[in-house]
Amino acid sequence: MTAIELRKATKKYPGFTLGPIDLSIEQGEFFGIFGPPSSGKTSILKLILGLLSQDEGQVILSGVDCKNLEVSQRGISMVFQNLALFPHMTGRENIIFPLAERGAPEEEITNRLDSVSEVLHVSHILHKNPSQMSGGERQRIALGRALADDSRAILLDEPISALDARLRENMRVELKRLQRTNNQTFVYVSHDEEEVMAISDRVAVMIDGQIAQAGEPDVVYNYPNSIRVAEVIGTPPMNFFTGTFSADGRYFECDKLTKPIPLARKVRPGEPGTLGVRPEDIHEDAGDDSHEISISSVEPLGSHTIINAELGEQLTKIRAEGRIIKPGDHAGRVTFDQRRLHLFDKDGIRLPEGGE
Amino acid sequence: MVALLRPDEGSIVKTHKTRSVTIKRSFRSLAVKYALLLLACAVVMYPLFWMITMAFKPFDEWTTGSGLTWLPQNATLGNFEYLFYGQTEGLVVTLDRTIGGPLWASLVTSTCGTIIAVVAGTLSSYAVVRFNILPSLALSVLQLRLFPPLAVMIPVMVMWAFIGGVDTWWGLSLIYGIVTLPFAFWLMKTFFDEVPIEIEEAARVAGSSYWRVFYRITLPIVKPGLATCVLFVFILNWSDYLLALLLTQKEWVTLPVYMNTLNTALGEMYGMKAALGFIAAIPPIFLGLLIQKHLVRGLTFGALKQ
Repeated sequence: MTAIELRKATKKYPGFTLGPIDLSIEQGEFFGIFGPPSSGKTSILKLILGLLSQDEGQVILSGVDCKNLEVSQRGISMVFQNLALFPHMTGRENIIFPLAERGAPEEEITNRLDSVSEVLHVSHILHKNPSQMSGGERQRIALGRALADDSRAILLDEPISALDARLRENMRVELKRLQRTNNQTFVYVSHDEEEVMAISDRVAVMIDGQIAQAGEPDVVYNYPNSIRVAEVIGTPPMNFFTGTFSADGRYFECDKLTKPIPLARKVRPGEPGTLGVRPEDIHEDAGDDSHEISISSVEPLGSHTIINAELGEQLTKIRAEGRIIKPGDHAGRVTFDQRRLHLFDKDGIRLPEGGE
Repeated sequence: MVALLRPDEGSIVKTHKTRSVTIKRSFRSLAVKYALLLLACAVVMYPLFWMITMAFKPFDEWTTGSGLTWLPQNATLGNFEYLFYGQTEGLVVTLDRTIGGPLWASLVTSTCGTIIAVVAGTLSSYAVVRFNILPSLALSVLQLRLFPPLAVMIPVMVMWAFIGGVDTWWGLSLIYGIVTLPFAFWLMKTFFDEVPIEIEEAARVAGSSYWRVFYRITLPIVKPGLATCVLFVFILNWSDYLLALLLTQKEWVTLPVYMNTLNTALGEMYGMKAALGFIAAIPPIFLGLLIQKHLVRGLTFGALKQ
């Protein structure tokens, strides 16, 4: 069943237009929305909540058009980026606030509070005010407030970006676990690509107020449908080479590279285009087809090493094995993994897979 | 006083830190700091001290030019007695009008004026800040303070005469409310500006109506600001002289105007005036103590981030 659906939803701001957005999120799905800052992620959430009203298009919740539905009637909870806990209330009062506002009976309030505080391990901080809590504790209370209200979906706007790295990783796992246990619909927004990719069943990549691509994380990663998506997905980012496809369509020729790159299939003979290759798909290889690189710096990260090198005349990022800790450890020659090249036409659109 | 002392507590702590670095210099700066504090205290406290002691001095101790003493030699409640009952031992002149009426008038008009200004100011500034209703209101409300009060007082007198508000409790309360409205509006505006909109949105998402968001969430958050606002506005109204002078004649004369009537054939009644000042200082201080807990936070509200 579709829990949340946006049809051609558009919101116009001075100097920025969101949409038209077409989006459909299934019941029980963990849906991630990723995008650079100010790409319109939060606005989408506000459209769903009804805190913003769309200029055109529809917001449909469980099959019902929400045009005339008040914020309070939509049955959707939200965890705000700055958490937005009520500073004058204790943890307990914060969590039960939505229930109390809806006039839930005392018994139900107690039950929900008990179950939520058990899941989130917050029983010991329920009596504290937000100002007395640590970042992680506030985080849990904010989550608790969203969970306690038995809503059809929970929207999370960069909910863990304020935490430190270790805590963030823990919360990530916990969020996923919570979502699975409750079988609830989660819409998770973040500008941290790794976070969204790791946690979501499906992701939407937002760029400049549009959804550039939506799909399963591995599909988006392995088959970005445009250069714009390829640029923002993946850390370190994909390397791009602009040039032309050779006359026979078997090679990609780039002025900055000394020799053409062989392609696995025949592609658009003679047309200009762009070749993208992820850092992990550039392998150390001293073979005949290999390209010489001059290494400018090495970032050993333990499990792997990031090499910044000049490939031809272009700065290129290469992800190499962790054993390489200084420039001399690398052979200084590389080849591209033929099966994992990303080819884009002159407009930056991904070329269809398979030969022509 | 609480408000005055707070920031300095902070700087004393800071000095302790520097002390570990250079003991000598920090000691000197500490000494200078305390000396300045003492001086500031003296400047503030001395007139209060003088007023209080004067209030308890008998007639002959403040009538003689020479022989003034720090403390009353024969402390007496005569000055207060004179204010409340119109006569006291050793004074032939009786007082036509005792303090009771003016005290009541001051209390009633200041309180009503404060309620008008704070309620109207709070609601309107919230509407401007949150709903962007009449954004020009913010500046136009300042218009009330752009003229020298005397310039507008004559038209106001005419208007008040027309609506029958001269020398009535509601007439004076109304003008107090209007005149102090800009203070209440702007003070509350700065506090509302500080409330993150997400907190209100969170409440709306949780199912609250706009009105409930306002009084369950926003108002409690700005409570310190509200307390500060009430005190400021009350003190402004309480110490007003001009408006009361022009808009009251007899029935609703307030304390500051009343003080002026304490000039008799015998000359200035310093002792009575001091006693009057002493009495007049009590309500604002009492109010301040009542809301002191919120006041300190209210005055430092802007500095605190969520």
